Amino acid sequence: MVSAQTVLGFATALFGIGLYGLLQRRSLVAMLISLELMLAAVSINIIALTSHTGTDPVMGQVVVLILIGVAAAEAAVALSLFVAIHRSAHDIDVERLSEQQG
Amino acid sequence: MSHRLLTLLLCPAAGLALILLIPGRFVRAIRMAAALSALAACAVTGLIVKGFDAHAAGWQMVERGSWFPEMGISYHMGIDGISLPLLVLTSIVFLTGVLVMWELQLRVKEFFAFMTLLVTGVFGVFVSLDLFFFLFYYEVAVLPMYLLIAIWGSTRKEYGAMKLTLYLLAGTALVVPAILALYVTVTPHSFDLVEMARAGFNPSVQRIVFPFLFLGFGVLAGLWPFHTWSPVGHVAAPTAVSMLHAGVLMKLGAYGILRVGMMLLPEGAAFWAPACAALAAINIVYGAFVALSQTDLKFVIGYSSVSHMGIVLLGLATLSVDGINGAVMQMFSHGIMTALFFAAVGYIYDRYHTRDIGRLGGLSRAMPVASAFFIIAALTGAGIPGLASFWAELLVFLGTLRIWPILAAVVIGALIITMAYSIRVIVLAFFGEAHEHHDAPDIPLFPMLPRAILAAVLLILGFYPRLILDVIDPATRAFLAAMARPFASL
Amino acid sequence: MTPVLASVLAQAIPLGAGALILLALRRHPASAAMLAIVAVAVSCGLTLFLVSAASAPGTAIVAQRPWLPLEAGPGLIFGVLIDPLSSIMSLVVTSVTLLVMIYSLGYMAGDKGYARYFGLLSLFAAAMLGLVLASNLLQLLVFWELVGLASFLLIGFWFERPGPAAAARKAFIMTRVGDVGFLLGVLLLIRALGNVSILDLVSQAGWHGSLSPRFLTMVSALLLMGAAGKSAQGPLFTWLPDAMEGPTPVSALLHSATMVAAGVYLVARLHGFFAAAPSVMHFLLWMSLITAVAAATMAMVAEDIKRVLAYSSISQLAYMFMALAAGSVGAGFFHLITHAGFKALLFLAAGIFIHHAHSNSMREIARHGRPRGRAASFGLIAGAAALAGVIPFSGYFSKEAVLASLGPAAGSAALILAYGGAFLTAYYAARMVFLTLTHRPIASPSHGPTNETTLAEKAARTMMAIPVLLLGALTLVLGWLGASLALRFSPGVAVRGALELGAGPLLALGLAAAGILLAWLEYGRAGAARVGFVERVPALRDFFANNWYLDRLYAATFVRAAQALSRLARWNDQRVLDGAGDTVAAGTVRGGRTLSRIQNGQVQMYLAIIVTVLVAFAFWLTRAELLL
Repeated sequence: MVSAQTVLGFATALFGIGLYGLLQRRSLVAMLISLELMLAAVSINIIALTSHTGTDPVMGQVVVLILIGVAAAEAAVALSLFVAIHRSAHDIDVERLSEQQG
Repeated sequence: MSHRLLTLLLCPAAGLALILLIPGRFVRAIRMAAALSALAACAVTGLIVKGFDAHAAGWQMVERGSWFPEMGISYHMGIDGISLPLLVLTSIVFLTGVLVMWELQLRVKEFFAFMTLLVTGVFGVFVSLDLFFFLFYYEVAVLPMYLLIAIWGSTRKEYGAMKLTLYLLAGTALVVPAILALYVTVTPHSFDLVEMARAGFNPSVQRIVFPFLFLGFGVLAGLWPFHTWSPVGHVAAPTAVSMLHAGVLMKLGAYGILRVGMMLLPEGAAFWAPACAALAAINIVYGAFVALSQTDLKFVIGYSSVSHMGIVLLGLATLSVDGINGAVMQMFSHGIMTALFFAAVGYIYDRYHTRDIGRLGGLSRAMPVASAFFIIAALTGAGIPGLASFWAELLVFLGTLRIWPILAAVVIGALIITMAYSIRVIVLAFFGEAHEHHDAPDIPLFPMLPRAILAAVLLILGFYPRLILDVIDPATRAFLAAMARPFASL
Repeated sequence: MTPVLASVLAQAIPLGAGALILLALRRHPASAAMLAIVAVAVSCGLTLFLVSAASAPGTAIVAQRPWLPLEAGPGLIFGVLIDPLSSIMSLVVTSVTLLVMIYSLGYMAGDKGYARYFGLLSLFAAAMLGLVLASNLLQLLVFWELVGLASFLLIGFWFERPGPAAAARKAFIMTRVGDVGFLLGVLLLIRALGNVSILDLVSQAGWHGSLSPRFLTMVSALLLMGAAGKSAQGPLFTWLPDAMEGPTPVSALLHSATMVAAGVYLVARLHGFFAAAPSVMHFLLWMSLITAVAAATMAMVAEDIKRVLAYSSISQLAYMFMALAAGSVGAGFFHLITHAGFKALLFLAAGIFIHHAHSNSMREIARHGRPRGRAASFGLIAGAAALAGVIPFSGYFSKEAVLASLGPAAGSAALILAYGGAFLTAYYAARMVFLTLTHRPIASPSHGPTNETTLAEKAARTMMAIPVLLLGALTLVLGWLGASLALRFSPGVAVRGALELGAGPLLALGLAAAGILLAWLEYGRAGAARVGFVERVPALRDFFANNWYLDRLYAATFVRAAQALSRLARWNDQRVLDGAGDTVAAGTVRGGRTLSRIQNGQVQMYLAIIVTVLVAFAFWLTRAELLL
């Protein structure tokens, strides 16, 4: 069995990559992909922790399955919003879309 | 319990409700509602004066009830001989202010709504014996000012309104922590002024907290060097707002120093008295000097207010019977006097659209009666006997002379400057050749009425000051006796 | 009727009349004038009653009631004090006011402010009566200020003209300088004594020995400041010559019985108190000696008849102070009364000339010729004779009393100044008469009698002539009252009898004759050059004519300093205080602008900050744990 440390380290790395992408990319689609990476990192964490410490490892897997479903729905909603934004503004760059002047 | 004080508070509050209910296009009805609430306030004040026993010690017409016992907040109202004259003052200025603004055309409903709100707050401060409500009403009185000046004002109104609001809020920012500190210190925790005074505070606490209260409330009283909001604000404000503001609102600051600062913190007040007196003396002398070279009538009045409020603060700082008697009387007479000042200038400004002394001139020929009102106010300010301020200033000077003779000599010497700027304005604006305004009509009967009321009050008190001093004097003595009680709860 | 009621009514009736006129009768000049005259006449009758009620020396009728509560003691008690001094003074006030009012019926006829004039005159009389009859020093101060206010309004009566407006302003502010001292002195006394009853102060009851000499000197000096301001003495005299801008009858009143007499009255009233400060009295003596001579020099070169009279007032008031300083209330007050008579006479007579010539300049008046009727000329001559101290006019007797009161104790320098002043007085009085009356028409006399024949003008002339003739007769009578007056005020102090000729009176008479002779040589005799010996020296003439340059000195020092301070304070207010406030405000706004840059709506930015803070926080937590 893989040690918890390894899995948690991997999940943290994944989360960090996702966070970096979320902060760095200006395209809405890229930001969404990064978000999905972070979500995946969270899912891995849940599975890893429940399998090591939890009384019933299946609970973790169930939660993650639900998470994947929710993520898919969320991605669908987000993408459709992006499409709508692109239709009206012909752009999905968040900086150019910004209307607030600091 | 007859709830006279509550009724008094309800007069402007009910006026406010009534005004809010009337649709804005019924201008006449709104005016009538405002006048009605002012008349009702005057009538109730009359009842209060009638029911007040000047010789009885302690608080009178006390109303109290439970409000929020967990926080130590209670519904507690009551008056003494110090707050009573201020209630009378507020009623008079309220009524005359409404009458002066009778011709207002712009947003009448909103104007009178804010005005009644402001007066509600002022009445509330003068009758509250609970610090929570005291502060609440204090803010109610201060905040409508911004809108009243920014919307209905003139010269640099946004600047004036903002400056005034910021200074006053800065004052509040000093007052609130001080009051919270006192609340936390006293056991059991309470906002009740009477109970707090009875419990007393540790002298070292008093010495730390008192300057906060003095400076915080002092801002509203035009204390040097935080006075600059007041002339600018007065100049920007419309007539009735200037009247209420210089006439009543600045008194809230002095009243706060007296009622909260000195009553709760007698040791602190005694400790800081020389410093307070020095600041007040600067107020008097400095204000007079600045007034000497102003060219706008309202600026002259504004700086004369700074100077005269210095006399109030000086009287308070003496912590003596004469000084406080004089200070309270000065609050009253200065309130009436500035109200008359602004009412007179307001009339002139409405006709000529200038307040520049150089461009006026010879007004006494064109409108003798309207000018006479201004001249009466100016002479009151110059401390001519036969007008109310003379006695008040006399008492303050006497109280000061008993303690700080040199300071008193300086301040009395400043009377020359006071006289110089008053006479300068009279001679430059009202004497001399009439300019282009020969055809302007003199003041008609109806606008004359409020101004005549104010002038009459000044003259009556000027000839017989005991009318008001007989009420103030016993209260001052009781107040000082309570202050002299040593702190015993340690 | 009790004397107390009479004294209260005597003040209240003119006050009520004045208030009524100003409030309700401004559009009804005739009834206003009538009301004012009736009120003052009634008041005059009442004061006559007071004089008879308080005729015995040492009488003092007092009625008082508490007025102002004070910290300690019974507080201030105000009321009336009727004694020989106050009753006679009030009679002087009301009678002169009455005559001036009658005269004004003619003099002011047709003026726009006719009703206002009579209203103010009534108030003036009421305020002066209040001052005279006050039983408390603070009460006296109250009316003192009101007298000042009334004279401000009357000097500035023609307020549209720049001259009167400026003169009124100057008078009010300069007398205020003295009044500030007065107020401070009274407050010091209140602090020391609780109440400042005039009788207690004078009798030294209750404080004799308990107040230190230093304190008494200081208070006396401060009170004296007030008197000097009001009576235009010493360095504070310069307002009085300018006060000539008021209507001439007002000047008559102001110079004789009211305003300027108040200062003398104060010192006479409080003489018992001032006696406790001999050094102040000594100072007063020298100040009045110098003032008497200085004012006389100014009168010698003045071209304006009213200015001559104004300087003569200053000079004569100084003589009164001289007597008071030397210790003789009787002599000082006697001179006050005779001066009230002849100075009112001089002004009223001069007023007729001015009315006729429409000019104040004596040479101009002479050019226009005499007005119809002899009253004015007789009045002027009688008044000038009294002023010069010619026997048997009233001024002779009272000035004699003043000079006699100085006595040898004053020292020879003082006597030289006092007698020298008398010589100068005679000189300028005679100069005025010669300059005004020696008729040297330059313009053709054709416009003389033809154009003043209407009935109203005749009536006006009569109205103006009656008081002049009455006062002229008085100058012949008043002098003989000296002995009885002296008895009433200074029991025990012997004042020389009226016709007792000694070295002093002979000297004074001789000097007066010399002065008149000199004036006649220079101005009066046929073919005279009409240029005085002083006027031949331009530097000296300018020095005298410009009030010894005191006005310029004040303008360059005090006025300048006040203006500079005012500008400094104003600059400080706008730049420093407001500047600081505005800088704080602007700084806040700028700070807000700067900080608002990170508030740019970019979610990524916010997220980055959140993450940074969280990470930092996590590090901080672990560090804290490690430290534990």
